[in-house]
Amino acid sequence: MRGFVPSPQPSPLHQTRRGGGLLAIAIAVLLGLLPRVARAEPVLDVGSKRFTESYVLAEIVRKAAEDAGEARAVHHQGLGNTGIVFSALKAGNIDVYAEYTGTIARELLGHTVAADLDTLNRELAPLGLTAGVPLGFNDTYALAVRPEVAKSRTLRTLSDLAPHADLRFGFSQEFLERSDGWRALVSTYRLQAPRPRAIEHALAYKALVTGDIDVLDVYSTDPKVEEDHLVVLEDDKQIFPRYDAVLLYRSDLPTRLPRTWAALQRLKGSVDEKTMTRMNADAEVRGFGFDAIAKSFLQGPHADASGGVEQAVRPSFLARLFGGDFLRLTGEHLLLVAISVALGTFVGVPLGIWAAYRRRATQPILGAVGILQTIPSLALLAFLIPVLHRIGIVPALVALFLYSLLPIVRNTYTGLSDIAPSLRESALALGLPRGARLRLVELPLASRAIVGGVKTSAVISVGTATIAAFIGAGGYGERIASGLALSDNDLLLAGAIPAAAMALLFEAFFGVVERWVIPRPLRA
Amino acid sequence: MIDVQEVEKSYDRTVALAPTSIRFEAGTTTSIIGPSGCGKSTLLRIVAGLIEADRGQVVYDGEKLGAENVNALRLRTGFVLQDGGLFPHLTARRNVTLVAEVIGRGSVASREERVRELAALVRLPEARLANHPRDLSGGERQRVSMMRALFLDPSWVLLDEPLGALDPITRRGLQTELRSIFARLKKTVILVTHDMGEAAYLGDRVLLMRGGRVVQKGTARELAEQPAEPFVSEFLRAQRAPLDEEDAA
Repeated sequence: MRGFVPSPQPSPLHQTRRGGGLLAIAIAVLLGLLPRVARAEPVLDVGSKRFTESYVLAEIVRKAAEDAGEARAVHHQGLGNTGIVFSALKAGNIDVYAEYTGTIARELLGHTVAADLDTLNRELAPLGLTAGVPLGFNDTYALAVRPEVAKSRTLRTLSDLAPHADLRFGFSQEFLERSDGWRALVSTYRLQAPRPRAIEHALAYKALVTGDIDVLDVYSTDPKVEEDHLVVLEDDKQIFPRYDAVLLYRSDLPTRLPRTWAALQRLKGSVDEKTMTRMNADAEVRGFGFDAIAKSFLQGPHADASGGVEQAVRPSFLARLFGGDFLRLTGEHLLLVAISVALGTFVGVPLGIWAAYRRRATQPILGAVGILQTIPSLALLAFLIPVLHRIGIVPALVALFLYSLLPIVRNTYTGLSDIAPSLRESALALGLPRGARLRLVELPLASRAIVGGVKTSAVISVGTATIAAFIGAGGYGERIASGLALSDNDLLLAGAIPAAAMALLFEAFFGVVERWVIPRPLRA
Repeated sequence: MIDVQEVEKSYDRTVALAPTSIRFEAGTTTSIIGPSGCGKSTLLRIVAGLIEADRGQVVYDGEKLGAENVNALRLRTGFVLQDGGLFPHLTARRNVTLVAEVIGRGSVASREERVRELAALVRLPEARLANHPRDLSGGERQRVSMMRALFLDPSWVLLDEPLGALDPITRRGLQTELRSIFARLKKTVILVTHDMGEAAYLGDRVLLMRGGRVVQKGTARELAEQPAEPFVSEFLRAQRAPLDEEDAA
């Protein structure tokens, strides 16, 4: 897309050069990213899902692996949901993560009943994956209610729920969708509750405590159950399979990194249910870092992350806001937005032009970019990982790029369509060649709409880019995701506030761009 | 010379222009006049190649207008719209020189010389050309539009209600100037207007249209003295402005 930028001393030559320059910069920035992907030293990539226990176990694996001294170990935190982290494992972006046998059987392999480890491994083998190293605890699903509800309705087992159709259910999205979740509950226990509400797990406890919902799904190692004195209902018909925590890893790991592997095998049977619950509480209730929890766990059974202190001393909010990773997260976030919106502009403006001038292309183009916008971000990411064979910045950029198209394409189309017919006719009657008409007359006349589209796109993109953290692409979303997983509002805000500030800065930046790009008489 | 041969145009089932053949003689000015919807604008736009005729052809000095030469012919044709059609994002000067710059006609110096010449012709102070169209008066805009139309020294000039949006006093002044410009340049000019006084004053010939067809072509005197049909006299009567009556008195 060249020359949609009218230069103040406009000569056609000028404009070509400036447009080309922008393209060159975009390519250079993209190329600059590639070395980050390339690896030289041996690396063990550990993944985790977006909940506390998964973070803790991954950190333990990372630390144990690093202590083996064979490879650098990297923890890719909070990779969305099961689908995303499993895609990342299959694609080879991570080598190992902690998973549960029940999830492997029912969610990943599509069984309707639980299966033992040997059976699972026979089916995992063709994927190049293995499940092993049972960590020693069973973290099954369960349903919990407030004590007063249990008492007034005399609820003890899941079967007791059936007559109470008025109870309000609030489940995590994953539980609602899983075959061993809500659907199994409905068919086995004949629950007739109205449609349950989907609610982020970390927030569901608050909803339960405030009385917005009556029943929620919990994990048996959830420290909140004890903390809030919740009553866990007995699975009397045993629909929830065992969820023994194991390591799910790429089958080449033991041969590729033998010493690391030996260290990981020592984790077998080392975490019992009580230890796991305590470590979850250390993170969620007492506010210790995952690295500290992992470190004390590996130091031995008597070590404690608290070192005898009841509660970790949290640094002030400002210190957390600008602390440690602030610059890295800012850089990552900025890069995600800048590159995706730059690409969106280079592709979206020509698409908008095409839609405006080819009547047959109008509906297909506008329809397609509209549909892209409706794809949920996590679904799009989960789809992109196997297609692109990687997690991290590349699929995040592709997703953000696709989302950036709608405002840019639409505004370009609208801007061009809204040009007064007399000006269009006048350009034609003058005998201006087609390219010159577009470059010197029509695009400048539509420039206000086009820049407005790019601006909207950039501001939206700052918000959308927070999802990049779910696939390990970094950015402020990392703080938001961990804050959410840990119910740590300060951490959540330490991610959300800089993102909002960045959106405002983009707004201001485009104020300058508008002055530079839009011819003076056309400005508002 | 512009030769219009058996040209016709319909939109859906409405006939905008019935089969029409007219010759616009070289070096003369022809005014096309008629009530709204009579087809005068359609005829002008077909001649300019802005609208494609359903049938028939337009021949410019022996060269038949078609997709392959339309742009070359447009470069040899000046076109002025009612509101001037000036590009709001460019200065008046750049509006005037834009096409020459894009197609690389003449040197920078020769273009500047041409601007000076045309500014003198349309009697516009050159300093005004530094303004954007929105900072010019209606009359000034039409002068700039005229400069733009004449910049490449076209063989033909087409004007669609060029003075239609101006106040009466400005309009009067510009009519006088246009007449002297046409007389001086001796170009083949086709001017669409709805004002009979203007048509008669500016045109060597007047072409009266109604309902998509040509009713009569001739000098203003011929139309008045030998009307081809009653509508001609009726139209002339309806068009007589109070001022003209005062002049006559």
